[in-house]
Amino acid sequence: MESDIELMLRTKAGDDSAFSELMNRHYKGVLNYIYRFTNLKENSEDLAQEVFLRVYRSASKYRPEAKFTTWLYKIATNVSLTHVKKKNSNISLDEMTENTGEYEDSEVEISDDIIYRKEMKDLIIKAMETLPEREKLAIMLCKYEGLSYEETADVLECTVGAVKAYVHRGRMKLVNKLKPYLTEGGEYGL
Amino acid sequence: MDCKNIKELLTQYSLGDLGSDEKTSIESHIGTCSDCSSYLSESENLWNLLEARDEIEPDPEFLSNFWDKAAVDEVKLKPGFLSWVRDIKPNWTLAGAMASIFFVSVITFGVFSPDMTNNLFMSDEQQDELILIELDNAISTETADVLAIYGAWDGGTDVNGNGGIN
Repeated sequence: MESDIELMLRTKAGDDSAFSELMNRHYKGVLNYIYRFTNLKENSEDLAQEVFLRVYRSASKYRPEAKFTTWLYKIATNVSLTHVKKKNSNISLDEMTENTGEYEDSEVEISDDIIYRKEMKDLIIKAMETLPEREKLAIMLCKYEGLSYEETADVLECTVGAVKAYVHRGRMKLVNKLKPYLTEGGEYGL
Repeated sequence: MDCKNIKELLTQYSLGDLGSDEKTSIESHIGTCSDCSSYLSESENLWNLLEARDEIEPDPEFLSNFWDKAAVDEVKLKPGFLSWVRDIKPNWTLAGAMASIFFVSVITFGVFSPDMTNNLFMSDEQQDELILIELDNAISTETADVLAIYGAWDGGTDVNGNGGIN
């Protein structure tokens, strides 16, 4: 299998099929990264397309020293941040958590398990929203996108030590906020 | 290590990111400290709980949508030589409106030109320059005061005709 770098170099040379292959590999990851960051399902697809358009437009300037995923997620982070900053002046957190677009059909019989999962999902979203931007991004990149500390540091343009601190502090804050749901054997415990 | 230090390292411990010495000391502490042990368990439960966030599936047409957008984008970014000239159509309403705006602007700014010393109209560079001028003035005043008290450094007389420092 060709590496991301090889595909990007083929794209740079004018081979669009190589870029399609790159999109097949990374589109879903970027889409969900944006979705988790913005909590807005309907915009995530447009933003993901914008990220790949920006990557495609910059293909001629691509240098293989940079790891492709680091570059990709850096662009995705910038696009998401810009979008959130624009939106935040017009939208409340409640709207953001309600706009997930799921479970809207009242005719569907909803089991206790689904209700519990939806509650948990909403709680996690709300707890994540309270974190400072960098702690949230560091957790998302490490936890959901599987980036290493080094790669996350490149995306966030900080040191590896700072990334570790962001993840740790963010995790501690989430533990405190979600404590009733984390205690084994408790009322809401796992 | 005390509980506070142990808790600081528990994230790295649960991510398998510690050296063997630190790992051993954490494990021995957790074996005896119920508080740190339950904190570790909560922290690990949290990490698993984060999986509960849902994923969305891409639009099945995402690739063709992308290439459509890329084609439009390319046309926008690479217009033909002087292609914009072909797009110009005489629009007398717009021309009249622009002439009116121009006329009103000349009258307004020609007669009532704003006070450009106001900070609101200044660029950062202009503001920096103003600060430097204020600083220079302050230093000049201070220098005059010093001269009045001590006289010139070369031992001459001060502004009041008194002798300088010897």
